[in-house]
Amino acid sequence: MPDNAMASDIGPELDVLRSALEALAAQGASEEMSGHLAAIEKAYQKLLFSLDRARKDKEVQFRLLTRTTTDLRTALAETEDRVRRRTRQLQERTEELGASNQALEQALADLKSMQAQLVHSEKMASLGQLTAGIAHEIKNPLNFVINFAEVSLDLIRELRAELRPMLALAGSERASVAEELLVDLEQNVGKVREHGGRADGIIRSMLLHSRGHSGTFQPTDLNQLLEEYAKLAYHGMRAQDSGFQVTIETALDPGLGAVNVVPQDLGRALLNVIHNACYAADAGRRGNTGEPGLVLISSRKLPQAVEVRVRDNGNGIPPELREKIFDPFFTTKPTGVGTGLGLSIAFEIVVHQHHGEIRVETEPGKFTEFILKIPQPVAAPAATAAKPSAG
Amino acid sequence: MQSAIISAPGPEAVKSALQSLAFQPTVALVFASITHSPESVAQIFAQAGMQVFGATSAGEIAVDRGASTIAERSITALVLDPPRSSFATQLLPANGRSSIELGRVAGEWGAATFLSPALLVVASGLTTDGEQLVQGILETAGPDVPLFGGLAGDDIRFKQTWVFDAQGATDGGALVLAFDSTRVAVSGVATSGWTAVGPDMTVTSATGNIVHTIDGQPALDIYKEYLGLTNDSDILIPEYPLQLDRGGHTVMRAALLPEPATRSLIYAGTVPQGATVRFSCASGIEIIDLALEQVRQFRNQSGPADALVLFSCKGRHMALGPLAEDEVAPIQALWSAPLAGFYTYGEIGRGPEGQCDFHNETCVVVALKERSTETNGSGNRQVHA
Ligand SMILES: Nc1ncnc2c1ncn2[C@@H]1O[C@H](COP(=O)(O)OP(=O)(O)OP(=O)(O)O)[C@@H](O)[C@H]1O
Ligand SMILES: [Mg+2]
Repeated sequence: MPDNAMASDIGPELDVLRSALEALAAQGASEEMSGHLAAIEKAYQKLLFSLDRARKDKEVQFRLLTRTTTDLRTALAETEDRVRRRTRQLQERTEELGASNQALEQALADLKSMQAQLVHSEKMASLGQLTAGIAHEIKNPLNFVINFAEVSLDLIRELRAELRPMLALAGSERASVAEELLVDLEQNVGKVREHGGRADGIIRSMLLHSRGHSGTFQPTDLNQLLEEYAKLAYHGMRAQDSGFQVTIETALDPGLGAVNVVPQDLGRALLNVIHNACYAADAGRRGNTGEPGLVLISSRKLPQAVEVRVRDNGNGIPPELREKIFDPFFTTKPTGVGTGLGLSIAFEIVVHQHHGEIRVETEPGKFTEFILKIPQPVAAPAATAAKPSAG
Repeated sequence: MQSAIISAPGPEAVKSALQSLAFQPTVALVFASITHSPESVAQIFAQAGMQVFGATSAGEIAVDRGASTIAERSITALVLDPPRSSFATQLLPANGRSSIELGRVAGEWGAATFLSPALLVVASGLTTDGEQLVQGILETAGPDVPLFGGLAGDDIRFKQTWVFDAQGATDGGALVLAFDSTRVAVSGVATSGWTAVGPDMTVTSATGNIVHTIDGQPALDIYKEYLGLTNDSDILIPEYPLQLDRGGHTVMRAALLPEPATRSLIYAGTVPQGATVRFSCASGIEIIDLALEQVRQFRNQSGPADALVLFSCKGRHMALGPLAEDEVAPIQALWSAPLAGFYTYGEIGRGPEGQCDFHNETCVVVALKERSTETNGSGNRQVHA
């Protein structure tokens, strides 16, 4: 410390003063002189004392200042710590808010999709009533059309048989004209018969739609059901179009066990979905993708449900259509090929009847996958052994 | 009012000094070392026809006409000649009474003796709770009563102190000198001149005048740490008293003794638990400069005086060392009136802020002035034996 240094620096000076004083006193000074000497001696003592005090004071002040500094430093550290803690709390709070915000968004999304489902259900319900009425009204006249068309075909055949000998007599030119007319007539009536049949098919689908669900739930070997309907779909396609070329593969979970469903209805839903997949895979093969058509059907046991996936390597579904594919009568297929009822029926069966889910994942130009989830709250007893996967 | 200072090494010298006085004093303010028997000292003045207001001391102060004496083991007296009807003394042995009770009795007596009393009080330096004494007096004599004084000393032996008048002495009570303030004006100021340094500290545990912990640390350890002491017994270091915040003004508190077993400190005055304190520190010259400045302001307001009484702390004496005389001489010079006083174990008086309080490490200057119009001339003289 500077004062310390000062005290020791002037130490020699003080010593000089001291010995000078002593020398003067020893010389036996006059009375007046010794008075002065005493005064000098006193001043010297005060000086020494003040220097010593100043040095001690600075030391103590230094220690106290150090303490103040330490206190300040501690206070600063505490404040910093508090700020840090507070910041962390705020961060956590923000994260919590973010999380609950996410939860809210999720809840909102759930609500929206629920609302959409409800709207859809409403549509389906009113459609059901409507179609029941219409179908009933159309069914009878249509039966007349079909029956009379069939009878007319028989009549044409009979007429041709009756006319043949007469025409043979009438000469070949007139005979061939009549024969051509008969062929045209037969073809026309055949068309009436065919399209009447188609109309009948549509009516039947509509009636099925509106029939309500009367079937009973029973433990079902779902894997077996899948295999049966895969075959059915395949052969159905094949029968309609001999150029159809699609490979159907299955990957079935042997641990699926017996699943509680209404087999006829669920089978119909599966058939619709598999049918669509086959159609898409075949169309892809012929069109854009050019790859061999492939449909993969898989099943899987989930904790409280079973899941069925039907995947094809077709053209996929463009985003703007994804909303609509479950709507009744929505179809992108050429007139006469699709009615647009397949998926709406499947939706009705899976969602309303079986309280499950049906959703689609797709990438245009690559694949489409329909995912069906049927809840199985209580594990059904393994009444029916699962059939091994047919691969 | 005529006044004179007597400063003598012993009773015989006092006697001869009294004989050469040029006037007949009626009262003597006597401050004597414990080395002299209080009763016999009192008797010297009593036999010379004076009432006595006396206390044992820890150093005696006498200043007149530029000559200052700060002595030890001596006898100092301020002799005055106010009319006998203008003052009275009352010795109050404690007799089991607490300091506040003693104070109440003293104040009551003062108020009963004069309509407008002004009080000087000295009390036992070892058994008196100075704060309580002051509080008791103010309770019964009124909060505005002029009140000054100090606690008796015993040359830092801390064994036995006395207060005495012409009638007797006590080692465990108080002595009051009441003036009729309509005839003898009594005014004064308590000044310390210490400067607070270092951080605010909180007295975390204390009972009476014993401080156990400061800022949660044993008081003794705090002192040793900051004052750089090595031994517990070095604690009587009056250079660094505590400044105690009273909310508006401050009072000084000096550590007297350690209690090594509990690491507590005994102070020369109460230090309440929860109080805010700071160390204070100043080199001698600064203390004197600051104190003198306050005394000078007081002098400018109060006017001239016939005599001055000084109650200055023993701790202050020790802190000032050889500079002590540089404080008392300039004080006396401000009035040019005879000054007598002693180094005490505690001081009573109003600070510059006006509150009467109990202090340590402080210098209380009291000015006495007779109000009568009669002109006796300025018969002041100092008699050195
Ligand atoms: N696997 C799929 N790949 C691509 N598009 C599909 C697929 N499945 C359904 N779609 C689209 O959804 C539409 C609706 O299908 P839905 O089964 O309801 O009717 P449809 O197949 O057109 O006619 P229907 O099934 O009545 O014969 C289809 O027309 C098609 O555009
Ligand atoms: Mg379809």
